[in-house]
Amino acid sequence: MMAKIRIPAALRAHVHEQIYVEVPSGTVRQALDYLIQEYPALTAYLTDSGGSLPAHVNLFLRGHQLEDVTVQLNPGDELYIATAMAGG
Amino acid sequence: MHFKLHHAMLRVGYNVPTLISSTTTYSIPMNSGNLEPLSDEERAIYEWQLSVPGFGVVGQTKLKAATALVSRVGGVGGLVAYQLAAAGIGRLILAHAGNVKSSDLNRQLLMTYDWLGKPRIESIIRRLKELNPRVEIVGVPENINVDNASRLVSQSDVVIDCAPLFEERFELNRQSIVHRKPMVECAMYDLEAHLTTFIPGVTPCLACLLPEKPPTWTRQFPVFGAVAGSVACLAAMEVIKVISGLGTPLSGRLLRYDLRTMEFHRFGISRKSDCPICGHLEERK
Repeated sequence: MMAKIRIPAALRAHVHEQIYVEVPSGTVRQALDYLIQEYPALTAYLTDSGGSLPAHVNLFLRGHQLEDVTVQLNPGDELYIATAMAGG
Repeated sequence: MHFKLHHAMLRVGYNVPTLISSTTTYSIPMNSGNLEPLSDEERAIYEWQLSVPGFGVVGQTKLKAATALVSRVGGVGGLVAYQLAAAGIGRLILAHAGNVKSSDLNRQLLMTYDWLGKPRIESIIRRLKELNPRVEIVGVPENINVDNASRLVSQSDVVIDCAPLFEERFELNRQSIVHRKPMVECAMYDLEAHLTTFIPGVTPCLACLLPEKPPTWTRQFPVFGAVAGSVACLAAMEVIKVISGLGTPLSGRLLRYDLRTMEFHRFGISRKSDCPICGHLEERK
């Protein structure tokens, strides 16, 4: 079983409207790199000028906020990308 | 402000320094002896919620004595205000600028077709008064900004962040920390929404979670009124809980859900010690 990334609604247009994208085993950073490599349009949303995850994007894994992208993703893990949203 | 924390902060694994237990309760301090009692009419109107265990006459009386500030009273904030008025909150401070537009009407349920082109705040007050003439309403025909935020937040017991622009959200958050007011944070996009309750010195603040504005954010975005209304109703319940002490607020936890798939996720969120807005606050337990 592979790990998968949950794509927020705001980014689904860039991944052919998929809600989940499966990723190979590795670290969270490697999973994000794989996602961006497969869907280059995500680069503008998931990478800041220094190549890191932008501060306005949060990651969650196993029920908790994640800040260390060197954490290993286990098979079956679901990495949750949370883009910012507001009201209106 | 009085905190009733039944459990200490939990220490959990990787990169999650502190979380609040899911059984933590919290309530705004109110001296029950000084609260205005319920009238017979109020007891009749709120009869169905007075029997909610843990709420009762004391909770209703606290709600009657409380003031909530709603930042923008549109798709989300309008329904928050509507539910709070229905539940019998004593006073609402409502901040919303501009005139009613056609494109408001799919989700901003306090705006009406007959009020197109007229001030939104007038439509908002009229609709709320139709529902509950007992609620005191302070209508502010402005959005939250650096000139009015401190004054409005200081007059409130709890604030609800429903604005579409991050500049307004950040200023409301800043003042909620300055004045030590809990802030219920709710937002939506497409069929997704999120909700959490920030308690200064106890939980993260908005700037911990979102230290900067997303550069790609646009004022108009895809959404149904039902999505805005769903998170608004949950937010109103958070306000009632924070005021009355009922149940467990969503503090230190972020609810995110997607009505496209009906998936609901709840995540632990942490204070940032280097947060420029709340990092200086001593941790309260």
